[in-house]
Amino acid sequence: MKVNLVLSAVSAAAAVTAFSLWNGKALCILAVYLSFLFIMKGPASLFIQLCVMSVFGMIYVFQADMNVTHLKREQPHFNIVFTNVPEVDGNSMQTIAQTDSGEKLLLKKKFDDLEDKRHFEDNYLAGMECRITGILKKPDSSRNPNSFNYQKYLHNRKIHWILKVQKLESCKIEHQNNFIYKLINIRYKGLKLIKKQFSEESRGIASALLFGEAGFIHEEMLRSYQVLGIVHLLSISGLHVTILAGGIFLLGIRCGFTRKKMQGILLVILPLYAVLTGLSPPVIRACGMAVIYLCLQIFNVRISGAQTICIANICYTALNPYILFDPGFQLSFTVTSSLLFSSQIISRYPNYLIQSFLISFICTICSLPIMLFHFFEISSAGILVNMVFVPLYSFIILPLAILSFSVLIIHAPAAEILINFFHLILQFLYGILDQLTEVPFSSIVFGKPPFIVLIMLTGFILGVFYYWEAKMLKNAKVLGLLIGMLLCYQYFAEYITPFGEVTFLDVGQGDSIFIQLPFGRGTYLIDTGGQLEFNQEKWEMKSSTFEVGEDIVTPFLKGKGITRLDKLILTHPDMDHIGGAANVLKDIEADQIMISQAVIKEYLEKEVFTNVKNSIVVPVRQGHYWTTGEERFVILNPQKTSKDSNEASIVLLAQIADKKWLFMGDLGEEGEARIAKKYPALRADFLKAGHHGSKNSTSDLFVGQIKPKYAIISAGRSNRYGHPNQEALDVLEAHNVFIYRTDKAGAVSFRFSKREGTFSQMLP
Amino acid sequence: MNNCLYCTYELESSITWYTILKRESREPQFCEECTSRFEIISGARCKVCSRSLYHLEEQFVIDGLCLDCHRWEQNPEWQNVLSKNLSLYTYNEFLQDLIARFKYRGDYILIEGFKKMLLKVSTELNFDIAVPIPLSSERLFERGFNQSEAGLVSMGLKPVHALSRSHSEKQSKKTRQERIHHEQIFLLVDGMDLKGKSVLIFDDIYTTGSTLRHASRILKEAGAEEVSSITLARG
Repeated sequence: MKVNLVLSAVSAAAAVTAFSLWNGKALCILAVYLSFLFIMKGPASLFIQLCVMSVFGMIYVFQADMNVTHLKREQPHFNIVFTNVPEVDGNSMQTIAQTDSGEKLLLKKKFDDLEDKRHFEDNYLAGMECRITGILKKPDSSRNPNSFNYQKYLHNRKIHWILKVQKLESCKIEHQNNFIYKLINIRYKGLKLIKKQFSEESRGIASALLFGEAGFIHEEMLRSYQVLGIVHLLSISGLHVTILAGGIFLLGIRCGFTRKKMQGILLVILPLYAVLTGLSPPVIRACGMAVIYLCLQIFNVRISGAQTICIANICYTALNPYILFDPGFQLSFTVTSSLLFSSQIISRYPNYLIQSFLISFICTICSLPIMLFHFFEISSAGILVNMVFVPLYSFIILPLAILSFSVLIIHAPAAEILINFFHLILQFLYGILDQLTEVPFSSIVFGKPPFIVLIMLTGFILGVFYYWEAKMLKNAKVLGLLIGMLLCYQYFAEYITPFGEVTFLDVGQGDSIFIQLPFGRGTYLIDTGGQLEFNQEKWEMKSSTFEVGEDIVTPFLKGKGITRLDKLILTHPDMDHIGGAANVLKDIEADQIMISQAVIKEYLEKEVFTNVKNSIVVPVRQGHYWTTGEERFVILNPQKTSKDSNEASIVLLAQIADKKWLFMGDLGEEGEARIAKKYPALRADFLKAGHHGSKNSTSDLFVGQIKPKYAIISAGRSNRYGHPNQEALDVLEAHNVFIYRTDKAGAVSFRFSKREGTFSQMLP
Repeated sequence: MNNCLYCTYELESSITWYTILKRESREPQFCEECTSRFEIISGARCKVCSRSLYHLEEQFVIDGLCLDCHRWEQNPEWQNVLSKNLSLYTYNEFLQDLIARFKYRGDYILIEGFKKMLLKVSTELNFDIAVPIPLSSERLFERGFNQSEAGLVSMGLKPVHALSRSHSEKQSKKTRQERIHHEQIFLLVDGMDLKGKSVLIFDDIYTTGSTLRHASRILKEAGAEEVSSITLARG
């Protein structure tokens, strides 16, 4: 009977997934689950679970039906309420707001000057009502493989539009007495206080631990917490709730309250705490579990932790089925429930050290499929680091944070010592963590596993725990070995796969082309994209900005499981080609970096090589070539010297999948004429058009000689230069060349095996 | 839904990986806690009667046999009458209560809980037919069923009623000496021909082995080639 509770939670998730995705994969999972129910649990259980599934299917369909916009793009004026305190970062702010018709919007505003920003920060809080003039914009869906799908993310939060604010008028503070807005504003005040009083290094962690706000943590620091698998310590979860609730409970009893009364008090405090800490899924999970447990206790019903988490999961899914797709939700519930389900196994080992290792190990193993799916990498160091850091955070850092903040509120000067101490400990720890991240294989990038690998991995993991608990250790070991083999396969897939690809990433205005050859014969990246940098004043600078290399190219490569490139070819030193290189090279190593020999000095001026670790930089010019056995690569440009950076572009002729590819970089007409003259017999099947399809490239003469079948133009959506130019398009069309444009299609991929290949594009 | 045969509590005591993933059994069974109270006979055991040799002092063990079996086998009259007995559990207090509830208080279904173990053990023996130990008509009337027959039926065997009772005294009310040395209490049913057959008999408890041996002897005299037995408990 109790097991039905677990099955119901799984059924709810299966039903929502199947109804929302409605594709082969989802139905395949559903079929596997239904057969499991029928074979292992019998027809009665199957019937019960089918009922649960229909209920949750209906809940989802109903919610999906409601999750549509009622606004029209042309609408210029809006009456909105700020439902949260706006996040101000650099020269802009964003927040979620609600229109008078009840629809949620993402509000974005750019500040005119520092005064505007200050005024905004001081006055705009949750519950503010404003009249806004602005432009509605559809959020972007993902334009590149493995990059963040903003549209889907917002859709799952029931937001369909981004409102770019032009004018804010007649703002007044309404909803004075709205309790939730009050709490949200208290939270904001708390964060402001931390920002003011804590040191720069410790304020991020303090905000995260006290108010669940991880946005202020320094990017480098956050990254090391991620790599070492302890980033969960920075999000408020069961640990914090247990310590807080337990502390209050004991304190209350010490003060002479009865247990019953303290339970009642906690039932009030916990939901308030959840709002104060930002209502993230792990907070809701932990507080929800505590509330369910306490409520049932009032009715003298005692349930186990495993039952509590199942009930919490079912309730949460029923209230908001979209939450199932949130990585935080998935990780929080998976890790906690897997620990609860493993209670039998853990209790078999009496040694405290072994137990804490097991807890850490079980968490890592159970979160494997989720981590691989979302983040493509796994922190192998996490198992050991957690053993030290979980107790450290529970017993020292978190209590110290709470203590310093409490003292800060009561008597600010007295808190100084505590805050300094807090700062010193964190600095010391960060020093250790920073060293640890340098240890090889502390984090392993596997790439995004194919569906079948994920399913097998999940099955094997469940099997290991089943046999482990049933004391059939031999079977458990066999399955453990299979998991290891599966991970090895995933890790080395690059060297085993008979498929290759040439992908033109959509990096906005710029180039970035990824070439992967079959059987690990080579991985090359031509250019990294990049943005022009504007000179910004200090107040305008954002703590985290979108950057092409970091946010498009690196995730793309990691999703492919690539952390090492054979060659990084930087065609010429313009920002839209090399701007992202510094950030890409932070996470991805390149054995060889090819640069254009004609303009070496300019590369150095642009600080491309700041993060280079073990690379050889090779300046190349016309005549340089290499082969892989199957494929051939020849460089046709630059000459020895060049007056112009574009004309100095590396031009690469490649023979891949028995087809000729010509990658032109930013070469213009002049260079094209030179190449045409020098190589009169030059033909190519695929042409990466020069200079984003500008007016001065892709000349009639050149296209006429090369006779390409396909041309790919890498240009930014509505870029300021008007690329690709109509003239260039006309020339290509006149020669019957099929054109792919990254500004229209998103990333364009050519996938091939041996001699056959097909094009595909990200956007429909 | 599915409760323990003995303590009637819910079978799954907690939600763990095993209980979530295991095959839901519709068959009646004992819960984990009750199961843990059975003492499986492990380690060295007497080759004939399954008695655990672990707690016996050295002088009572001869050639892998317990002293009792050794004595039986030394006696030419009883030599090789019972070729092998297999018992599932040691006759501890828990099993004593359970068997009393089964036999004397008519909780017939309890035998179903042993089905799996019985089937597993029966594969170690080789037999053609299964014969229950008969009850006198008074006892049968009193109890409503024959526990020996019940065991065989639970194993899916078809009992052959080859034996009947000559008189009615309860074995359990007799002393050891009386049991071993009294005359034959079983009779062969008329017209039974067991020539060349291997026979399996089942009883709830093996205490001195005298009941089983007496029954075996009649069966052997009727031509059975080999007689082996299974009991739930080894006293």
